[in-house]
Order: sequence, then C-alpha cells, then structure tokens
Amino acid sequence: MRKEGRILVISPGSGLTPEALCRHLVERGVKVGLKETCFGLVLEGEEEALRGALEKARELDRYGVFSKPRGYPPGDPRICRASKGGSPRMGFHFLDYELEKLPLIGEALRELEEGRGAELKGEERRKLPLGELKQVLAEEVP
Amino acid sequence: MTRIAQLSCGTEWSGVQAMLEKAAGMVGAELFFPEVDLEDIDRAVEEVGLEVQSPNLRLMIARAKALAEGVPADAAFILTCFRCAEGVLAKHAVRRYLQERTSLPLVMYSFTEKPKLGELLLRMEALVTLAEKKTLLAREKQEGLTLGIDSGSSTTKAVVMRDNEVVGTGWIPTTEVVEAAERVKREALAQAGVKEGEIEGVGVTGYGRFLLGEAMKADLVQEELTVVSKGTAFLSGVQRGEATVIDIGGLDNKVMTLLNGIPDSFTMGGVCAGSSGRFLELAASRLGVDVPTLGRLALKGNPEKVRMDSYCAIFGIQDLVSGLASGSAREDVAAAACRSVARQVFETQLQEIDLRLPVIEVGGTALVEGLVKEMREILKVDIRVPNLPQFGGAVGAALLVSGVRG
Amino acid sequence: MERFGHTPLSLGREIGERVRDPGLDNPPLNLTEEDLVRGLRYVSIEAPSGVRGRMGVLGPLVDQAEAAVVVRNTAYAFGCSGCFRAGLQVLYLLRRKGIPILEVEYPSTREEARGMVRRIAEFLGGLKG
Repeated sequence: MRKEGRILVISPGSGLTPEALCRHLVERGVKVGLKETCFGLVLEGEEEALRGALEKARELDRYGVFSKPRGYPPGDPRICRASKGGSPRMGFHFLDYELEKLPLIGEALRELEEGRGAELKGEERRKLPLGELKQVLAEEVP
Repeated sequence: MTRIAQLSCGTEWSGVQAMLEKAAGMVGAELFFPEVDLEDIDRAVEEVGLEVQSPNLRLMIARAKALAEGVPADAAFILTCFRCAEGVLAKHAVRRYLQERTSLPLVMYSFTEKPKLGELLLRMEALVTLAEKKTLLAREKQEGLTLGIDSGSSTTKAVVMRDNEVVGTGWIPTTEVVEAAERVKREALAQAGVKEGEIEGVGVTGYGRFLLGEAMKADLVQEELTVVSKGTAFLSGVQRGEATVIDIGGLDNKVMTLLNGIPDSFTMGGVCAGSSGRFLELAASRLGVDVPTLGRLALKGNPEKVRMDSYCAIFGIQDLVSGLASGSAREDVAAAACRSVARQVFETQLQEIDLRLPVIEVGGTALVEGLVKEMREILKVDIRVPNLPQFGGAVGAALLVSGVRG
Repeated sequence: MERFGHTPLSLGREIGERVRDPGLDNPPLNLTEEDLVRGLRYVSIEAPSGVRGRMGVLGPLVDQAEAAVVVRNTAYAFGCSGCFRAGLQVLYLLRRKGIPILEVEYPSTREEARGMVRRIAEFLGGLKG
C-alpha cells in the first residue's frame, strides 16, 4: 500500500496539546508515523491506518481536532524551512488562515450535532437597483 | 555566496523551480524566500497599493515588504509566468516599491515552462555582478587615463578616456579577437596622443572579453549588460532616473531598462539575424552601398512601397530583391529594410519589457539614421542617440575600470 | 466532508503521489511536462504556464468530482495552488459539469460560521440519498 500524509490540526479553542494528542495515539497503538508540530501533528502511513488514527484523535476532542491530507512526508528537505533559507512551505499560510476559524467551525458543528442553534436565515445580499440608488442620491445630494 | 531573494508566482507549478536553483548554484548564488507571517500579507498588499487577487502574488508582495524592512539579502529576482496580466502588474509594482525603498539590485523575468538555462544564467550572473560590484557600478565619473575595449560579434571598439572625456577612439570589424583589439587600441591611443605605458587601467567587455582579459591583462572584465548601461548613461547624460536602452548589435540585440544607470530588466535577442545589424548589412550589399549610406537613403524612401512578407534574413532579403527587380526605388528598399529590423526588434524584444522614458539607442546601428527613424515611428516616442553611440560598451568599460585601477 | 461520510478530493493527496514517486525529480512539486500537457485538456495553451501546470493537477480532480462545495472569498485558501485565475477555471469547469454544487462564503463571524457549517451539513446530508 502506498503511504499518505495527514495533518492533524488542533483548534486554538481546544485545551489539547500536540504532545498529549501524540501520547494518546501512541497509547492507542496506531500504526502511523507521527511528528509533533506547532499546530498539531503530521502523520504518515497507509490510508486505513490514517483513518483509524483520525478517529482515535477525535476521541480526545471531537470538535477540536481537524484534519486534511498533506502531500509531503514529514521533514521533507524539498520544502523544509531550514533548507529553504527560512521560509515556510507552500500552503503554510493557508493553514494558518484556516486555523483562525476552527473554534467557530467546531462550535457550529457541536451545536449542529446536538440539535441546537437558530434556523438558517435565507436572506441574501443583492446589488441595489439603479433606480433606488438614484433616489438615495437625490435625497443625499440635493 | 550571494543571497538572492526570490519574489515569484508560478515557478513551482510551471516546473521551473529546480532549474532556477540550479542556475543560481552555477553562478555561486543561493535563492531564498523571505519569511512573512500571515498577518503581514494584507498589510503589505495595502501598502504597495495593488490589490491583486492571487494568493501567491499577495505573498510575493508581502515578501517584497519583508525585504524593504530589512530581511538580509544581496539581491532580488522578481519573476512571474509569461502572459499573466496580474503577474506583470504585480512584478512592476514590487519592482517600483523596492527601488523606492532599498538599493537592492534586482532583475525581472517572465518565464514559460521551458526557460533556457542560458537565459536564467545570464540573469543570475547579472544579479551577482550587480550585488558584488555595487559600489563600482555607482561610479558616474571617469578619472585618470583609462582604456576601454568592447569586443563585439561584428565590430571591435576601443576608447581612451582622460578625466571624464573621450580623447581617442578606434572601431573596426572583428576578425581575430585579440588582433582586432590590438588594432583598435593602437588607433585610439594614436588619436589621443597617448603612449600605452601611460594607461592606468584597461577594461574589457563584449563577446571576446575573457580572451581579451587574459591577453591584455585587463583590470576589469565584465559582461556587456551592465557595462553598456553605464556607458549609455554616461554618453547620454542620463545618470539619474529611469531610461530604456536599445542596443541593436551586429548579430544580436539588447534592450535594458535602467534606474540610475543600473539595469533592472533586460531582454537579449540573438537567435534572429532579422532583428540585428546583419540584416542591414545584407540589404546594403544588395544595394551596393555601405550601411550608413543605406541609412541615409532610407530617410528619403517610403517603406510602404515595398511589399515585405517576412522579417527573416533569408526571405525578407528575398522580398527586397524582388522589389528591386520589379522597379522599386533604392530609397524605398532601404527604408523597407530599416522598418523590417525595427519591427522585428519591437515584436520580439520590446514585448517583454516596460518602456521607460527617455529611450536611448546605442550600438553601431544607432548611426543608421533610417533605422532610428523607424524605431521612433513604431514606438511613437522620441529616441535619443548620444554622440559616439557605437562606443557605449567601450566607454562603459573605460569608466568603470577607473574605479578599480591601481 | 469526512465527518459527514464523504471523501474529499484533495490536492494534497495528488501532490503526495508525485513527491513520493522516486522516479520523478523536479522539486519541489515534481511537476512534469506531462502535467503541463494534461493541463491543456482543461485550459487553452494561451494561458500562462503556471495556470496550465495547476490545471494539469486540479483538472483530474474536477473530473472525479460528484459534488462540490465552493467556499468563496478565501483570500489564502486554495492550498499551495495560489492562483486566482486557476481557481476561476476550476469553478467554471465544476459548474459546467452539472453536478450538485453548494457555494458558501468564508465566515468572518460566529453567526456566519454557524450558517456555513449548517449549509454544508445540509448539502452533504442531501447527497446521501
């Protein structure tokens, strides 16, 4: 079987640490390679084993651990900060950007699964018709 | 090791990143990406003022800001995909931003998925030269008594300069590189009334520079892009501010954009005789005149009267011959030859560069009046031709070597 | 996607296949001429090389897609692809396919996040049947 990579991201809203998450997965006997990072873990292994690891990770914090596939193996020199003169790998800023929203997403997921939360508002933004804009102009600039 | 900051979009996805790194390594340089934080990106885009949408271009702008704020680098290489409008706008915005805030040497480039290694090497080499010889390149005044030789593909030029003035020149067709250089040297020295032993420094440039450098024990051996730029800035009195230099040579042509006499972008032709002086030589020989005479004839002719379907040195010349055979006036044929070269330079070289005023034409072909007239008509701007335009490279070499002599 | 029982088509996984192939050596992405040529199936040769290279990898993902969730206004999203124009083309090709598509805005507030999650959940739930 071909190996794949996974990023496990711990939401900033979670009390979990990468170290605790890593220890948990090791204790639960997952058969994947693990590497701690500042935002969570990088995993490497076969598809089935990765899925298992993800499920076990969510046992700790169902709404605080998120995941997505990662292309490069952990510590790959082709994109490693150290060997590229200091800049992060491609896609790092994307992850950083997503990270900010994870507490909101986690909370929304929890409410959804617990059957709480307000109904969806169907209101949509639309452009003001020209006629109305003209009217506003006439009112504001006599 | 010269550290070159890479400001780019699309190199990984065009499959050219590895080649870039290889080219940098070959000239003793190292590429790196300046580090930025996520929150810097929007701020940088706002500061630079160009609201590009592509995340990679936004990142490129943020990296430029990091450089302006002091991330250590010796030079910057700014590159985006060829034909990307958003990339072109971002590239020039970044270039201006850095030029206004730093004195970093920079070079721009548009790449396709198959860039030529030679093209990349030329740019990397220029960046390394610009970085390593920054102080030397800042020189605007020639001092003492120096000799500059430009060993070109079709002619060899020499100048003797004394206290910021050209006092002797020599110009002959290139035969054997060293022999031709010795002859122009003697000519220039004789005209200046100077003995060889009195010369305080020798600078060489052009195709034959490495051979000449050894044979003449030159004090400065440098590629022609920076040297011609300096020489042109000197001859035309445009040492400060922006300029575009067009140098149509015997076998190739160069176009450079300058800021304060130092190039930041350039293109080089060299695979098409139709965009070089060679085309004019062929046309002139068909008319039985020399190239300067062809240029003067062209001023009196109307290029529209000769049908030309090709810019090619084979087929285009064939068109001119057909024109002559069917009774076209020699003046019209001469004008059509000049227009053909001007158009080919425009269509192949000037598409890849931002035209900055003033536009200055140098090289031997700048003396061909009909060609300059056609360039003016195509570009719709005035084109300056300084005195002694054929000596741009030699003057640049004499000027720069006065900073390294002794 | 996975929480709701679906399989995401991932650019990361595509890149993973390339960078783990010992036969390829064109770092960092190991993009090949073949990828750029494949790009021509999804975008004209007039497009810049970077767009063609991206489409050579993203295009086959569009081919495999049975449904799509489009998150709009994501300044830094789109992973390591990073080209707004390639993003436009992917969206265009998805729309042309006639598969179910949900378009949501990237959230700024708690309320918007809630709305986005609910819409996606509802959409994914509807796909099952």
